[in-house]
Amino acid sequence: MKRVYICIGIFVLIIGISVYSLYVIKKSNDELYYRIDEIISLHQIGDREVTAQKVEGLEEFWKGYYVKISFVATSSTLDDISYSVAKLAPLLKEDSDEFVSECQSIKYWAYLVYSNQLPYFYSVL
Amino acid sequence: MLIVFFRAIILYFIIIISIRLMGKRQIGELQPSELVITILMSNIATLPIEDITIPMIMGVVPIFTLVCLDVFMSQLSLYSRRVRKFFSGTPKIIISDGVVDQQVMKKLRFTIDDLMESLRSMQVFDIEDVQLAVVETTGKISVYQKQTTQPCTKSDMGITVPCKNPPQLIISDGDIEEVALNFIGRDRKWLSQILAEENCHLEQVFIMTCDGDGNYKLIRKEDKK
Repeated sequence: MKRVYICIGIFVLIIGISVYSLYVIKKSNDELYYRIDEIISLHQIGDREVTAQKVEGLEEFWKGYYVKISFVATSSTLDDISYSVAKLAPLLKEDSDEFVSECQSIKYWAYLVYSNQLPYFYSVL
Repeated sequence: MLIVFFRAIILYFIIIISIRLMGKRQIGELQPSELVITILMSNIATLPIEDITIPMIMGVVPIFTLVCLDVFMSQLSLYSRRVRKFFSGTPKIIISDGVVDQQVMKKLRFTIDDLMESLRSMQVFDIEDVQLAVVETTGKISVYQKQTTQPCTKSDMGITVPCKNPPQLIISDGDIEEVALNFIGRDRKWLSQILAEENCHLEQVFIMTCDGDGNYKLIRKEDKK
């Protein structure tokens, strides 16, 4: 019976960690979306100095988020996001048209990381 | 992570059903559920090791999920005969009074070669000698020979001998096995006395066995050259 109780504990722990990781990803994603939306609107206004600061802030935020998320997401997906985040500063410097699309792609990658963790019927099967 | 969790549960049942479908011949010595765990665990464990892009937890979660499931199911099997039957199947009588049940053989997809091989491994070379042969849930065959072909025992000859336990290992490489010492009804005081009589320190003992009557065998450690 002791073994059964241990297994119940492990089961609860697994479900707990799974749900908690979803919560952490959702919360961090919301923060990431907020930062990206802010960067896009600042860029559209034309405030390059503040935008550059915000991009720097986004890079720092992503470093922390990468560590948190790497326990549940495959590193290839995260590397794609890291690559896009790293491109933002040079694109802003060059005032490239791709800046906004790169921001949007980061948002989409982040959304994919979250949605890939959700146990939809199609994703389970 | 929940995907891995649910996938592990689904795979567990799918493979259990598959193994049950494959029948007893494929199982060997493990119970179906144990075999499933063994196969899956060995495979799952290699995934995060081989592919470093997969987080380690993705290997740990399904392994723990499967092991927990197995414990739950074995606990359920204790209470429910139906569950036990589903997961392990039931033993089948294949030979009764020297007659092979061909229907059961067909059902189990046992060939006569399989059967004879199993009988020979039990030192039975003639089907006629078998009173009862049962194919266990693990796929092994248990054989009960006819009384006429069974070796003569002491009770057959009317010889009465006291039943006693085999000798226990009470000292292993200088360490006293307390459980074994208690089992034969002796204590440390008795052991110290014996060692003193033998003029041997505890550390010098390699193996010491003793039975319930106090008959012991002491093997000393070899001197280091």
